Amino acid sequence: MGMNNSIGYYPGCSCSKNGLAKYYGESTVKILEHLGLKVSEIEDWNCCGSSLYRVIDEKKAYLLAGRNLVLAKKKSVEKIVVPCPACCISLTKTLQKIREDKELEKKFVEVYNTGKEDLSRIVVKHVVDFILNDVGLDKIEENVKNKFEDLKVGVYYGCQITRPYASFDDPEFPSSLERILSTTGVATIESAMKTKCCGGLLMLTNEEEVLKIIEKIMNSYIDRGAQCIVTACPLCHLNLELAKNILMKKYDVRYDIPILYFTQILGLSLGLESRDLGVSREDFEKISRKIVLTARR
Amino acid sequence: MSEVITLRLLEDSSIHTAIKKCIQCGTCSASCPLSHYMDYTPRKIVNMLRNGMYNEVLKSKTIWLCSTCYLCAVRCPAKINLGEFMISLRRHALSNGYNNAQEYLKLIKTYAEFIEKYGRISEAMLMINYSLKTNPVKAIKMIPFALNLMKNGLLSLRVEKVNDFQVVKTKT
Repeated sequence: MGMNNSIGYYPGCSCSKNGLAKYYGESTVKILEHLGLKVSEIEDWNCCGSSLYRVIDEKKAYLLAGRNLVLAKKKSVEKIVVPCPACCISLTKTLQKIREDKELEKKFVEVYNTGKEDLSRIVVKHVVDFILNDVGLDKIEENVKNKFEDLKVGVYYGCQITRPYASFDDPEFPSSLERILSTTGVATIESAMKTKCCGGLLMLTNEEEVLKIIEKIMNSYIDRGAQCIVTACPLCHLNLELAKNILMKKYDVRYDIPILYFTQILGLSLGLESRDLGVSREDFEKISRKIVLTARR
Repeated sequence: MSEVITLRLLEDSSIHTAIKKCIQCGTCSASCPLSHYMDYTPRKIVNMLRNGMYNEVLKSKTIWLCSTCYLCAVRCPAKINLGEFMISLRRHALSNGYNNAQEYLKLIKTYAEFIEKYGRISEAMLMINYSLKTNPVKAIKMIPFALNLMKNGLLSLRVEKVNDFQVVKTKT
């Protein structure tokens, strides 16, 4: 990793300090720093527009997402690391669209004085892709301080992390998270529903339907003994938390398991403090009995 | 429906591609996690467009129930991105005044207000504003969850404003 200064970080609204997935963003930055990688937040970034803004105005949605690429380019950033899969899609799609659509490119030159040649070297990567394929498992293994002993972790990818543009893993049966978590000693729990959609924003508009889907997803892990579920998406995390609250009122303790970000488990394993990773005291107590200190050579 | 609206719809690249390339195999409908709740399956929507049923398509529940999980997109043998196709249909429905998905439209409106004012959104504020607009009773039911977020230091009601943000005023 020679060119550290060329790595940009795009938190997106959810993972920013005012977002509901603030601890996903914080734990991501903490572990990357801990592993010796300097990532700098893209200054004055704006919302990627998600899938919602494209419903209002398609071209403006690309200009909106593209502003972040232009800002990155100005700072000579070549690789943008993104924790939110939806942001990843918006940025990737915009890059793709600028290459294909001459009219859109013209608009970019007009508004930002930036064309496709200027943006062509930028690569957008989800943080799972970045940790596995750029940082590498060797680097993580060197830095692991604590191993979890017999903690059964349900690994839930959600839908957009590997679909439709990502090429770093299988779109339906990915294994990147299991490989990353294998360094921490946890036992990962497989589920046929690991890339089933959590319902996303429909949780707000169609709660009843979405709750049924999430109940099935959570059951697929809990039935197999999962003691916590990890996610790599702010919206999956929020939806699982919301559903957990509702399901607990209905079924009591069955659904009372921590929903964590994979970066929190990885961070604890690297020896970072739970409070720096945003792991609540309650959740930490549930999983910490499973941590053993590994004596370093 | 006027000819201009129809033409615009058919010229939209993701809609055009689907109409042209779809082989009607039904893989999209079989893959869709929400097709049980739709009035027409995704395959059927494409076929309806081929048969000129534009009104019915833009009035359908289906186009608002897609969660853009892209499972159909990665499985489609004709390589059609039906997620993008659904987003495009929503755009045409919205711009032509089909307002039968009130909840979704309120969500989009609230979202757009944040973007246009700040350049960023606050999910907490978005959820609160949206719930108050659509279902105040549910908003009250959310209070315990909100308190829990607050306990964990997650309920920020602040939104940071982006500087130098002219893009939303651009004419497209």
